[in-house]
Amino acid sequence: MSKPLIEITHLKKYFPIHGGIFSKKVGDIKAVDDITFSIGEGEIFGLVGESGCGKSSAGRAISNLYKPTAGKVVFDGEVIFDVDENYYIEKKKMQAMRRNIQMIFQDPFASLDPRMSIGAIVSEGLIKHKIMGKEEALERTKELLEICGLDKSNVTKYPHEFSGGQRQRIGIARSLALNPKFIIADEPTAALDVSIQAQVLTLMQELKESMGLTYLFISHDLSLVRYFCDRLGIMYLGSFVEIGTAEQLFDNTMHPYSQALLSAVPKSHPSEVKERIILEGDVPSPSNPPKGCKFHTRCPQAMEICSKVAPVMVEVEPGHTVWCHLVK
Amino acid sequence: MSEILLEVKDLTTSFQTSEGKLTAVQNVDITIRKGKVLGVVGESGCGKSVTSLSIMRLLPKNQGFIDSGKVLFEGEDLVALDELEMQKVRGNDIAMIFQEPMTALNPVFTIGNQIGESLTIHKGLKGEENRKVCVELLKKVKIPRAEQVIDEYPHQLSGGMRQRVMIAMALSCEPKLLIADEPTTALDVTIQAQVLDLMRNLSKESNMSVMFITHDLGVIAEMADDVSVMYAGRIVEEADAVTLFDEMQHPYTRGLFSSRVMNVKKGETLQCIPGMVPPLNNLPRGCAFAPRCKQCMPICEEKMPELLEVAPNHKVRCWLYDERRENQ
Repeated sequence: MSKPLIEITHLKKYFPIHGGIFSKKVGDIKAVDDITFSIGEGEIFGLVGESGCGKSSAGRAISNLYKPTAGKVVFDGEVIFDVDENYYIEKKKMQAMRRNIQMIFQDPFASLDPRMSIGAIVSEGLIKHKIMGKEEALERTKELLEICGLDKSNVTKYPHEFSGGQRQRIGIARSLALNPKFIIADEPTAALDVSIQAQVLTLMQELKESMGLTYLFISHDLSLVRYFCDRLGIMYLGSFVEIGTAEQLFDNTMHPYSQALLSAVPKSHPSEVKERIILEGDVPSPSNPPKGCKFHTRCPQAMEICSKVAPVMVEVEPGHTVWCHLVK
Repeated sequence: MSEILLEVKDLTTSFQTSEGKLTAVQNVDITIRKGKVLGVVGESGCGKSVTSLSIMRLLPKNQGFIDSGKVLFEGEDLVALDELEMQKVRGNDIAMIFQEPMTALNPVFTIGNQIGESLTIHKGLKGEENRKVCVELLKKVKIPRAEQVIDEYPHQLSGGMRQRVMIAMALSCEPKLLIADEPTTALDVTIQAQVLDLMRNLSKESNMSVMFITHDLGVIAEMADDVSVMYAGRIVEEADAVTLFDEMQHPYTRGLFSSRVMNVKKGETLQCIPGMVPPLNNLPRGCAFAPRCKQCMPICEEKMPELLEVAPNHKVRCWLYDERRENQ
């Protein structure tokens, strides 16, 4: 791995549950429960899991859009927050930091303001950060649109005039406007058709090469992350179950949950025979996760110890870590 | 070839909109064999859902019209039936499940109420007897705690469970044909694997035919016996599933296939189809796929090709395989 660009240590994000007559706090939804990982410069790190596993919350907590409950994030040598030390970066500094950390959102229909023209949407950051004057920003916007495969005449149009794939390109152009180092892409292709999905992925790959970007790629689609990401972390109920390079995870899958996820991916040919592990039941509620290993209620290989003791991290090969009692 | 259950012949469906008449489905022929699964694939806006709504005669009133064509269900033309006769077919002989299990269930009625409704209407079952059948149905779709779930409301169930309830509802009158419109798109991979597994078993057990609409070729590989590929309101290729995956001919089908990340190794570039689906009110004069096709010839821009048999049970709509192109 190259030099780490961002390091996340013991990050937690709990959402309080209020109940009763006085809306007292009655519990927590443990959306992100103690995750530690780092992303190297120029790397694509994939955060994978089913809905509700906390992957989007993790993305937002890392970019400081959610106030974290615990943990520490260091970006490019600068501490963004360290809850244990009660250190939070100054607002001014964070604003400057935001130039380097940008997001691409899942739903291209909800993430663009319908009352702003495309020019205004893409150039907003440039003007807000006082990098350029209005006219210069408009020129830069046209350039960005062309980089993202849209015609520069589109600056005066409004979001409703575009299809899903085009809107996602606008979202990408917006995230690139400030020349960021790091982009958090939260399921950027989930709402798109297959042929358009391929176009957007190809664009993101080209941009990574030409602009030297680092991505945190959040997705539920395993075949997608296998192709797109260098390293992966598989999450279940707010915690990691397995982290490794894409090759390690796909060729030497250790955790029963990762194995089940992999086997659930549809076949690529009708005559392919696939050994399928069908998981029973649904994901338990993150407000009351099972004791011990969180996965033991659905695990086909659960043992007695699994319901009592939470497994510790085991490094099975360099860079490949698993949290499971089966792995010694 | 096994017996034919449903035959759609030369179906054309259009919508009256403020921008004039839009033809969503044009001259579509579909054949569904008894006890087999027909997969209909295509991107959004290709007319796959409209085809199924036309079969069910559920097009929005005063907006959607079947302009021409026949829907022969066991020899009887459904298009010619009046509304009352059609009600007897709907839910009884042909049932349908939808993409969004969240919106397809009524939030203010219990599960038992909603499943029991069609039993009362079509079979005249009431009271205890009705309830007993409902519980059996819930058990058939593998819902745990069926006796309790029957008195619960949709919001108490997860997405996968709701889709199972939808399936139970559709199965209540033992339909001969089940139309499933993207039933697993809103579900996680592991839950999708559960639901697909269930549907496949149910279809085998009761010799029920299924029309499975999806945009995901992986799900097709998983489920379908026969496949029809649709593009811009027309069928562009049809064959049995194994033939289609082995010998796909139409450039669009091949494009769809190679846009899927699971068919590409890491490091290889993703092949994508350039451009996007043309709007229905502005279709090109010739083949609708011509503007995006890499093998486009002059004739493609002039004239729509016909759906021709290139091998037994394998039809393609493309000038590449039509020898008459020279004489045109």
